[in-house]
Amino acid sequence: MSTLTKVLIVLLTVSSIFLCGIVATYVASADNFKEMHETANGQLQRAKRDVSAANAEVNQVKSSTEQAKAALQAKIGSLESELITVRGDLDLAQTKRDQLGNDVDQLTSQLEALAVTNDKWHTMLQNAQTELTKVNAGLIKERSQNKEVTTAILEKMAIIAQLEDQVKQLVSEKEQLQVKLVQVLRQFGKTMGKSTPVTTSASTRDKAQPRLPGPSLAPVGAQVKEIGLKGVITQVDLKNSLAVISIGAAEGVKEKMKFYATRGDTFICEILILDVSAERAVGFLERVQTPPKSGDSISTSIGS
Amino acid sequence: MSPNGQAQGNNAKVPDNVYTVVLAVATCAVVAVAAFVLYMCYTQYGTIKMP
Repeated sequence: MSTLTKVLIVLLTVSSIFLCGIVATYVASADNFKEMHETANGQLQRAKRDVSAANAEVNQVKSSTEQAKAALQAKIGSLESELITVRGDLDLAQTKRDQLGNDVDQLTSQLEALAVTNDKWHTMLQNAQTELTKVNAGLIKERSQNKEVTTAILEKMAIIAQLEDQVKQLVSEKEQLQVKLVQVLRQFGKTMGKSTPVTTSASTRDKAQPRLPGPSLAPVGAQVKEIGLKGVITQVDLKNSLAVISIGAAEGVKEKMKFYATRGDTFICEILILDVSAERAVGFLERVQTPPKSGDSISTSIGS
Repeated sequence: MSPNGQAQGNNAKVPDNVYTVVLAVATCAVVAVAAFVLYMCYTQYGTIKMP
């Protein structure tokens, strides 16, 4: 065997062993592409199934979304119509609010004017109350004077009654003396002449009366003349307790004068004169016993 | 190179049987690797045919 053959044998052996080692190492460490392919294929199938399921779910979600979109569109439409209605109501409410604001302003101005008027009326009321107090004081004074006058009248009437009794006694004595005189004259055959009245006239009698202490008779007579006013009721307002009488300032009626209303012999009420015109007067009804009516008599004293 | 294996001079003499053994070892290694490759192909791909 030649040397070259031997060298080639050794080289062939070394290279064979070397290549065998490389091949064995490569094969041992090579990837299993079939298994990887199957794994990848399985993953692909699963991915396809997932895609189809996802597509179905997407379609389902799409349909549900479309339904929800349609429902929301309908709801939006109704809400828009409702919004238009609410805006109309809002405009009306704003208009009404403006009107109410104007009304409030007007009422506020009226209230202020009423407050001013109320103050004026309050002042007038205070003045009227002050005057009423003065009038009441004057009325009380006049009542006391009336009581004194009444007392004086009663005293005079008592004196007049006493004097009338004296006159009656004198008349009876006169008649007795005339009878006696007739008898005496008859004894002497004579008759009695025309007799003169024993009683004197009223003026003479007044002069003959003794003067008593108290108010004089002249003012009493004037008051009696005032008291002797008579008339009738022409209108009656029972709601306000007012009455109109047929006599006024021309007949001597004055404010705060009191009249007595009668129907026949029945007392009806009192009328306190509040306002007097020329031919009529208005008075307030007091102590109403029976509702008065037109035609009832009035006078300043009962029984006159 | 003598069958007795005696060295003549400074050159070492290797018997021829050694080379035969070396060739046999190399052949065995190639066969073993080929068998291993076939086994691996069969186990991984299920066939030993070329696609």
